[in-house]
Amino acid sequence: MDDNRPPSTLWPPPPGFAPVPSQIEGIEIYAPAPEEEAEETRTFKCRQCGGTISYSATQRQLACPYCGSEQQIDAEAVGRAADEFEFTLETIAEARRGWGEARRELVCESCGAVVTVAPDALTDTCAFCGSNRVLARDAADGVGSDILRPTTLIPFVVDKEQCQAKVREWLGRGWMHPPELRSVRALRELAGIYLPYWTFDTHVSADWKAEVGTERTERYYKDGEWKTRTVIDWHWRSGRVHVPVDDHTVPGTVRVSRVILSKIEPFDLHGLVEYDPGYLAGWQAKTHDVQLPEAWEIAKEEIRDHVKSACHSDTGSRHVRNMRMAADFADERWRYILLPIYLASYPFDERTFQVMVNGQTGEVAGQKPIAWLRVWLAIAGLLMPGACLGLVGLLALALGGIGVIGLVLGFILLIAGLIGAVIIFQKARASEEI
Amino acid sequence: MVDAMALWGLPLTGVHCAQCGEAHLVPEGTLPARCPFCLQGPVEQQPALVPEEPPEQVLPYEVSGGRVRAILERWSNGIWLRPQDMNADVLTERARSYLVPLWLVDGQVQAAWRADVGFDYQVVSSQDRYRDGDGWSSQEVQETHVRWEPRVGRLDRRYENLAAPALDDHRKLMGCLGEYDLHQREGYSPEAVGDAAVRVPTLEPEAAWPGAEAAFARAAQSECQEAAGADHIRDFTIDAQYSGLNWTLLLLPAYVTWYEEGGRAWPVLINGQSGRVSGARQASARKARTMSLVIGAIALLLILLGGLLTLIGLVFPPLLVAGGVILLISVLPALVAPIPAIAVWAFNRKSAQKTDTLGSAMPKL
Repeated sequence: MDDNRPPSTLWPPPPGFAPVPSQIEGIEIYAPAPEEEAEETRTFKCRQCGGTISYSATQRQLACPYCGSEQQIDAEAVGRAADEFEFTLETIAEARRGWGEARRELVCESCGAVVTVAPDALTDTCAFCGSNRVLARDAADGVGSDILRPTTLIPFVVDKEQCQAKVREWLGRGWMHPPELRSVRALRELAGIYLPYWTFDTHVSADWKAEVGTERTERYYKDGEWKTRTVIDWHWRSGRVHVPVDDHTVPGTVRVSRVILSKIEPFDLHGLVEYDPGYLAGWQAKTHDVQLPEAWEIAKEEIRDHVKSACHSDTGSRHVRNMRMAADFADERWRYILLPIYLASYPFDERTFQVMVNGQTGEVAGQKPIAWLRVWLAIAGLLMPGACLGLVGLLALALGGIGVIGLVLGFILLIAGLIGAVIIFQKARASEEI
Repeated sequence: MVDAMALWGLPLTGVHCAQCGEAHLVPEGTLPARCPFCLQGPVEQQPALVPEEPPEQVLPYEVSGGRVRAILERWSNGIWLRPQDMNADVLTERARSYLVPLWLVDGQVQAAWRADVGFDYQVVSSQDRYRDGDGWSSQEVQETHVRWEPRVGRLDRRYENLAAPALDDHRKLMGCLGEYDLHQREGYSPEAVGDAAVRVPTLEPEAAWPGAEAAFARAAQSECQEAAGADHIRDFTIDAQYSGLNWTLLLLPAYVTWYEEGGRAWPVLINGQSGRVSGARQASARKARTMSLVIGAIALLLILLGGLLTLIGLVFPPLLVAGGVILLISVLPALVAPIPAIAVWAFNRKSAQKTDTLGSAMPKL
């Protein structure tokens, strides 16, 4: 190629471009150079004292617990604009692997959960079931690893002390729980753990066709008088709805209670930052045990419900039958992220109860034992007025017609009491559920 | 004075049309009465129009004789109220060989280029169906997406026989004649021209250069896409220098024929290689008018007869009914009468417009 040609606005290539193979002789091609894949496995030691440093939720950077020195993490805040991947085999195959730092895996022999911790962490208890039957081994890293590396995460914002206070305040809340909960001493240490999540984006276009009913009032003659009644006229209708889905989250693990997890959600995904192993220093991280296809099926199931609701709304009527829909999913994209939660368990009355705290918002949820005596007393208290008034009314009925009023009032109070009793009972049951 | 016999191997002379302004070469002694292209203007002999350099290559005729007739028969069939003059025999008899000049350019290109290249890839998507009672069913589908990536580069390549226009109205003319397969070309011989009318180039190489440069850019774009192993290319920009340019004149085979309708001559062009025909297909307005008049006259007669019977019926009542029936029947031809004239007018208008859009190299007469 002749290099003595006059200068061109198209030459030389822009910075960051590198030569790539050409299939025709006499044609040179330059393309953007790929990012450097090679990276060293990092360890997190204090530059001043050599102690192990960890990510501090309060200082939002790496901090040494021994000498107090701090280190900044150079990761960009990306929020909801973080990179997403399309559903191609290549994107999954090409996704980066491993954690990018030396970590150890803890495998719980009791519940089977696998978490990773810093190499020198002293943890020997499973954060999910509280069992101490835990095996430790080195976590595989790099290309050979099966572990998909998350692209982004939300760092811990709430620290352990704040969490302890929030959990204790939450434990003492509510009249239907044992008063001893306020002074639970045996609350096991809160384990800060990054949970795997899949997020999905898509755009669904759905064509629907259904029989839609419109109400009409008509007059008719019966038994010698004119009356009115409401009738429904059915007509076939069709339409199209567009349902954009942005950052639909599905947990990447089945080791935590979905019920409790849903109570501490949502996470504010605007807080997403690029993955950097520094955020995991000193914290546990759970590897995903729900694979991408399974997670996408779960997400699709939930998205279909949205689509179905949208189609029903589009009919403009509450009377719909023979609904048919054809939903076309387009531009499906996914992300694999880590979200921060605290897990803890506490023993009470020979049982173990789970608590979770949203590491970003501080929202607390979990299982709480129920003081059933209190609950039954409350239910009795709700039913008593109606029952008593009914009895008094019954007695008064024997004396004269005035008893009817007492009987009716008693019946109304009894019904109201029954509704309240059912609500309290359901709430008490839910409080102990996982 | 150019000696056509010495240069072209044929006794050719130049003719110039006063109407359309185009110049042609025709065999000496066969001066046409009308311009071979526009079929309208009188031509005037101008021997000076014979180019000093004859063409180097010609594309041989693939369509001739019986095939031309078959093509014209197919083209002229199926028209309601077809003009008397538009039939395969007349059109074939009038068909004249017509050669269209085209430049072929060779040259070395040294360039810097930039483009976005696209690579196809498959993504997995879903199409779900729902039916009350049956619930959801899902079908996995594969969709093709394009990943666009920037590329820059340099190019040092030689391109040969790139087509560049030799006529001002090349694009319009090609719109009528369609594509030619230039690989079939042969060296020039006087027999290849025979008694054809040869269009004289209006663009010399200097004037034809913008067209040639665009052809070089298209060839380079195609090669850059291939070199990058890409499925698509867009926003191609090239900054090139050209050397070793060589221009060759090629003659493309065609036929021109015509038919008369409405006092005008309507030209028809045929691609001498592919057989593609282009021309306005006009219906006979005169036939349509006659048909309308005949039906109208029948209607008028029926009305008169019906009216007469109705009047007599006032005196002789049994004829009143017959008169009424005839009057009623006369409504039908009265309504149908204008249809042939209107239908043919609309058809001719649409056909003329279509031809204008397609090709408008067809001479406006």
